[in-house]
Amino acid sequence: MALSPVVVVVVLMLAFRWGGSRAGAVGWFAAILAAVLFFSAGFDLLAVAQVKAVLLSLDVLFIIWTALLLFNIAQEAGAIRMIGRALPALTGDRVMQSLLIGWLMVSFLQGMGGFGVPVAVCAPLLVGLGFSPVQAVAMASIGHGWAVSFGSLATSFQTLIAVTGLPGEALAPMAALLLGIACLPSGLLVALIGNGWKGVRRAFFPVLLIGSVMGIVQYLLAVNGMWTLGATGAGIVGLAVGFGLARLPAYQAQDVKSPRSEAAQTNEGKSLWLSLLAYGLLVVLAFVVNLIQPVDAFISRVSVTLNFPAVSTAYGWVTEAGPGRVINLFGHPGAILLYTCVISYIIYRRVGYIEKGSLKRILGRVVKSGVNSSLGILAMVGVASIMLHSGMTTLLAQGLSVSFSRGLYPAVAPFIGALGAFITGSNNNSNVLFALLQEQAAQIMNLDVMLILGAQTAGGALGSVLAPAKVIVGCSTVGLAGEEGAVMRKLLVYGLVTVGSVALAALLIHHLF
Amino acid sequence: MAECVKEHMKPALRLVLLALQILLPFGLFFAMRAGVQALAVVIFVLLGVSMLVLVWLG
Repeated sequence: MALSPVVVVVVLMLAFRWGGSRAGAVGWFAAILAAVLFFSAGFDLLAVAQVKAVLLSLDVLFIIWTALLLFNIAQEAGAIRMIGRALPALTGDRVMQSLLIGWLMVSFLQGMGGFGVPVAVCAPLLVGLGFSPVQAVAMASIGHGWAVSFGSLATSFQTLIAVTGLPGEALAPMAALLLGIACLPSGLLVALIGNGWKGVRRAFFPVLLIGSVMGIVQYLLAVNGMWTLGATGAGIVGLAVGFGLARLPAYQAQDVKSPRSEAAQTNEGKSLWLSLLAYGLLVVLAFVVNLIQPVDAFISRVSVTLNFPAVSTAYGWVTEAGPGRVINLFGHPGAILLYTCVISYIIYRRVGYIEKGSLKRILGRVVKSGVNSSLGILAMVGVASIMLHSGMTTLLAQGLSVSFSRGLYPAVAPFIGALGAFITGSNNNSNVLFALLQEQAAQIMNLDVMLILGAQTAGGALGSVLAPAKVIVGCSTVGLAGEEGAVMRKLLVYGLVTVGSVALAALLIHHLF
Repeated sequence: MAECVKEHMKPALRLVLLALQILLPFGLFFAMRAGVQALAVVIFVLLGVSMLVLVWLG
């Protein structure tokens, strides 16, 4: 019964092709029924779970709405069209184009911000390059899963440290190793989704080279205490190597005649670099806010949260009293996106890239894409919160952990992490839910605790990109709102490969070392 | 009639549902904190109705 809300949502989305908001609403009723009838949850528990869910959703919606606004401002200024024209001039090779945007740029953005921004930004760029909307969302999602744990300034990894009480220096090597390994299949899958098996063959060498470099850079940063910059550093180096490779004659398609600068200059009299200003500004602001301590401290002064009482089920499952999600109003990634939007809009208006009166059109598009996704996220997070507060989520994890032998458990651990992220929509929440349980399971079975926790966070990272809440975000930016089921079907298969690669690696490490 | 409303009012209804699903839980929180249990139950029922409308809208 603990699994029933998840089964309801997944079946409705995959088999009946329902959209995320509709399936999430039915899943919400299923979660309430299961919580009341089988887990003895009372009204207070359901109410607290729902209010916490809305607080958590607002944290995510702040980013989604501002990311949509930034994208629509950039689109109005012609940036998306121009990237679509300029990239084929950098390299006419479709495989390299898909890797540059669907694997490298998306991973770099995950390092900088995360929270759904990478897919929201890169999926439309891929559509602009001629990939189908379903391919675009699938590529951008799968492409950045490996960068989630050490992305967003390593918030998920910090949570792992906080929950387990173990030092980051001890946890980092195994987590970085497993995620580095997952980087390679992620790149190959992006090539497969965009270009088929022929694309995989063509992508093999670049993926091997760039993936190894990114995995090593992330590993070195993480094990040397700089895990907050793990995915960002890896993404920057990966992009640099990727651009270098794209310039090689072997990756220049034959039909490309014009040099890069020509393509950049033949776009409606606009400069490519000025059109890209919005994204450059986002990178600069994110660095300034996250890495310059006094700036971070100054804008992080105002935060909003609610304090909740302890609640329990009649069966004795207790959720302690405490604050819900703390929203840092001015230092929030959504706020940084908003500053970028305002500054970019003013500059684009001044240089004439955006016409007078276009703000209404931009806002109209933002509302159209944002409302459906927001409804889906509210419902899905509500399901996750009710499951968590009624003890369903922990019961699921316990059931999984006692069902497997010691020899097999290292391969199961990433799937538990992935399940947690799939249900809750975040690597961070998966670590909150399951890290302690995985640590205890490892100790009981006399397994390497660092290996199991590394597998937990790696599985959580790769599973988070498959979560309905994240898929809805990606779909909303490419006109696929309401068709999330089709994307999820594709994603689940590829997700099994990436999580499976971590499972295999963990199993080999357990048996060989 | 219902189908007609559904077709023509869908975007506006979604916007209303979004506002309700964000605001109602806060009302629920403050009703519980004030100890007005009956109001909290009414708000939770309204939240359920908004979810049902969402399923109906598709």
